[in-house]
Amino acid sequence: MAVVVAGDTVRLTAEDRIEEPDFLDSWQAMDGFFTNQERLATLMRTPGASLVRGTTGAERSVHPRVAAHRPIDSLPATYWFQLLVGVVAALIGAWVWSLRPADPAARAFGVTGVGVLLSAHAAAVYSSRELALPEGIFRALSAANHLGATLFGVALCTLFLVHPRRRAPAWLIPALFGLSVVWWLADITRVAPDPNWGTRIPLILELLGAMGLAGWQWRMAAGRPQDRAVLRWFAASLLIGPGLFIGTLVVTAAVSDAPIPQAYAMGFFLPTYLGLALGLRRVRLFDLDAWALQLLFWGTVIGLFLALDLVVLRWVGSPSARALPVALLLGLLTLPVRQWVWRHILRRPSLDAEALVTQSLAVAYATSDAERAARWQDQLHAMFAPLVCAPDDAPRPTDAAMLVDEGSGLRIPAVTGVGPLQLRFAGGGRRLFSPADARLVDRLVALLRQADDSRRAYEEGVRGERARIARDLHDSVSSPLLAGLARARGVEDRTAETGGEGRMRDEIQRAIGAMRTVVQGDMAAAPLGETLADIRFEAVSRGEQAGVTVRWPLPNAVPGVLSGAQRAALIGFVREAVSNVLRHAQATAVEVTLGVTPSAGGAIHLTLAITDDGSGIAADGPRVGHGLSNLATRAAELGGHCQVVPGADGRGTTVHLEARLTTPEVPA
Amino acid sequence: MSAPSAHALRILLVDDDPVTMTETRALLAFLPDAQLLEAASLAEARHLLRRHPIDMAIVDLGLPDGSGLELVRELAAEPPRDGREPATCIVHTVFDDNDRLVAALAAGATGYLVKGDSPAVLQGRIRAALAGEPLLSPAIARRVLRTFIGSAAPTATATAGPLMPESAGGLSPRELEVVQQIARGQTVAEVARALAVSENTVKTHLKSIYAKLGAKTRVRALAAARARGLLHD
Repeated sequence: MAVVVAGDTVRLTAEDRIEEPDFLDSWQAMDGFFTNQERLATLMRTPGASLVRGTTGAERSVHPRVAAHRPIDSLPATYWFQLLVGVVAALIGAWVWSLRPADPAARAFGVTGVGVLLSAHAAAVYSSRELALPEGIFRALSAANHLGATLFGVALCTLFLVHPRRRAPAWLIPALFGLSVVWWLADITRVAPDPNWGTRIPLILELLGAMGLAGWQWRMAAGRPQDRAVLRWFAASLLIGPGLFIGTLVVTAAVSDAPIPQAYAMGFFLPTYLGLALGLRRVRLFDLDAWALQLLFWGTVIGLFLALDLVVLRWVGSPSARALPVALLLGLLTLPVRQWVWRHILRRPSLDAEALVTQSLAVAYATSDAERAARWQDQLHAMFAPLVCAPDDAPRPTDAAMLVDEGSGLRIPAVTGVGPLQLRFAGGGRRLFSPADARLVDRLVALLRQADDSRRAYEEGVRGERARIARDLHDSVSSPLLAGLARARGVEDRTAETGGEGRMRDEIQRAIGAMRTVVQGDMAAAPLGETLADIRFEAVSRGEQAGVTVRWPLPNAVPGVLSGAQRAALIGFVREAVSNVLRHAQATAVEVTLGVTPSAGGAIHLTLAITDDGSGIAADGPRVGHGLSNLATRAAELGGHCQVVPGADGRGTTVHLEARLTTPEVPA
Repeated sequence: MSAPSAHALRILLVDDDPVTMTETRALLAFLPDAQLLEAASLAEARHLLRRHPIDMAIVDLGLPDGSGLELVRELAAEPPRDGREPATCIVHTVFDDNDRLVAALAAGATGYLVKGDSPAVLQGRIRAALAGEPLLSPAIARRVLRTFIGSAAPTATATAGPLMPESAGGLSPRELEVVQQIARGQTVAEVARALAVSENTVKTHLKSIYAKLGAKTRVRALAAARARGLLHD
């Protein structure tokens, strides 16, 4: 093909049609290209120029109409597309800048937008030229393109010098900009040895520098999850944008005869801009955190697919009918792989709903507040693996889960029996709490409260029913019983001397006791420590009233839980032993020693010795018999045995109890 | 709270059961100078109280026109008249479970009598109430702790050193200490020795704790009623 004007012929070469002269390798080649462009442009403006194509001997001439201005509808899509990319990048940059005018990172970001605008708009003009542009215009546009690119690169470096944390002295930033402009001048004035040194090396240095600085910021941000979230954003955006831009241009140029037009590759900057802008803006950063991963993921996937398709095209030989089915088949095969990668690598392990409900119910139905608190914290740990789980000491309690410090912390509202908590550093400090986490906690808290309400309603129902029975018994049974008791006392007091043992009184008293049990329920299971406190209090109080000193050292914290029956037996045992002393021994002091040691199988080994300084059993004679058999019965009920040992010098008595208490099953 | 000798001890008995009334009357024979007023319902009791200041009331809980606790609450809130000390309230009950005892304490009662107990035990309790002995047991102390600090683990808190005052939910550090010691099974005399104060000081702390318990339970009852829509703000 050649352009012929009045005998002057310029043969067109492939080089003349290239979009971007920057791919030429030497100043010479570039100068040749520009000279050709100038000649072509001049020829094209000359009336009567004709375009000749075909092999020698079979030429066909075309006489193009050369208009003074290019009609707007003849501009190709690539032109408009690059214009769009430049405008969008600049607008987003300006948006961020205007939102945070004082923030140096926002300013740097704004400058990158200007860089893209300059670079893309200049390229738009020359890459969509009709055959040729005059040399002067072309050189100016090319210089503008280079200036834009270097501004972009150096602004990106600046960004990572100050964001998320400022890591550079103030003079460094203008120095970097100055250096880049000087380098650019060296490029356009051809002071640089060749186009590599003039254009490419500074750009590559800038991009590598930006990535290095980002990595450095990442290392420095250890322990600051919010900073790392921002950096993850940048990594995602950088990989997708300039990475794909350069990657596709290089890869398509390497494997394909028809590389993807640079104009379209420019489009890769758009997601970069959205990503960077949103990251900088920290608009609901926590939601975007998950997005960043997705962007990174899809960016990688798209890149891999592109590469795969290109390899397939290459392998199949030519873009023929065979290539399409193969590519489609490969695509289909990779879909499950993609799905699997997504689920296993990028997503957090999710708790299934059933486990959540089961755990929540376990929290709600814990038998004590301490246990409930422990289970609730266990559940929060299982869900979020926070580094810190501490009581929330904020002055105003929160009623719903609340993110604090941009997701470093999550405030958990109080649930029944457990005060508000604050979790910090989710996932062992590797991630931030997200609004989704807060919503999950809110749902759990609602579930807990619901379970709690229904448990309370049940307990209230039981209480109501008991109250009704109590009322009925009080009204219809207790009055006649009490009247009978009064009469029995009167009768038996009068007949005491005739040998009445007060049996009627005892029987009525037993009936009243039985009635109380009906109303109040059997003695409930309770911690051994509480039962011992009750017993100690009763024994010491009775001693105080009778003028007998009861020495019973306060026990330390005692483990274990007693069933209602065990409690009744232990209380009865000590009561009986103390009664015997107070009634018969004429003692002045009682010494109680207690031993509680955990034994195998969760059981508790209990030893109790009650020693008095009284008259001793021998002196008491047979009257003690009844009391001793009661002690033996109580000991047997506890699953142990007792021994009554007379004091060494015939004075005083020691009652020994030894029992292995098995912990009762705690009702779920 | 024992009555000064300037005037005779006046006692109000409130019970709708004539048999119990007779029993109680016989029981009080050990106070020979006492003047007895008798009422079979809340309304009668209120009527009598309008005209006669009293020193002590023994109130049955289940009355035909309401709970005896209402009367206890009214008496506890009443300012003293005729130079008398505030009336000592004793509840009279067939059932002596902790729920009822704590409710009575919170209403302002200082003692309780269990129907069917032997006269000696009952007289001992009346004497204790008149002498200003506060009602107490480790079970009640645990209940108080649970109400104020949400945990009744006395051994844990007592060994964990002094708690911050604000964590005691309205109890002073000393009051918290007293109630924790009792929850561990110590008597008033032992607590007094342990804290190196007089028994009366310990009792004063206990009365103050029960007064706060009453206030706290009333606030809670109101909140619960509000939550259930029974009351409006």
